[in-house]
Amino acid sequence: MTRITLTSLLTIGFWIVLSERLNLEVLVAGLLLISIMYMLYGKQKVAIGHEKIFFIKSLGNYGKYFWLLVKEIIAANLQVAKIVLGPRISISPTMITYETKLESAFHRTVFANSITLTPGTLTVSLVDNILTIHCLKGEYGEQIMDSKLEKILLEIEEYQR
Amino acid sequence: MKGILIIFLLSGGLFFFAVGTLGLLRLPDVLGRAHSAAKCDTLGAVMTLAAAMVYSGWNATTLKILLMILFIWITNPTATHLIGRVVYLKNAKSDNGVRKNEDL
Repeated sequence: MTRITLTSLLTIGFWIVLSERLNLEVLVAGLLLISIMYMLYGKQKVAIGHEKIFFIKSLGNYGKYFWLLVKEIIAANLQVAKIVLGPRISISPTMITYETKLESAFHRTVFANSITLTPGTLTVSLVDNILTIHCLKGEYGEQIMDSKLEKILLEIEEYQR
Repeated sequence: MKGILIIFLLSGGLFFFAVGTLGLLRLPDVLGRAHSAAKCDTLGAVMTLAAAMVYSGWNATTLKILLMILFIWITNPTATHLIGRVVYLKNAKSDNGVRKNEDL
């Protein structure tokens, strides 16, 4: 699947969802707008970059990744709620640096954003493969060290070689 | 049945928004506040939007709300990262003696 078909499929899907119905006028108007948009932005790497990310094999892994992320977000949100609602706020903010083994820029971004999404940890800077993470408690940092999220992303990268 | 689910999701969303606001007031420094403000938003907003999804049933509105959830989950950590990055860079400067800001 080349990038142009992927981008146009995504954008036409987006257009159909926004217009709430599917008939000829909507499709023609959508295709016209998409071709104009592609002419304007096609040269910039708006979509995903050069890496071929969407393999059928890794789709299942992305689903697994999303499911795990949702579970971690809920668990960690409850932990932060416990801290905030406690009679005395007991936190020990720490900065840790973590070297990730991920290679593609896309996966690094996904991983850093997932860390920020899970409460208690906040990616403060991402330079090359070194993440600086601010943790509300020291133990949250240790949880990142052996997180399953990175392992799933590493598996996806294995497929792509 | 639908009503119970909606009430459950809405009160969950309300709870997490309340926790986020309380954390914004109670936590001591900028980064801690960024934690609570951004994180409880992720679950609070998503649960509130999920309640709206259940309410509207199976139609195009539901799909639109799903898109909103997706975009919130992409943009929220990016914005939080930016705030954290600014604070981090400012603190790094102050360690070198260039600038000191105790209020941070």
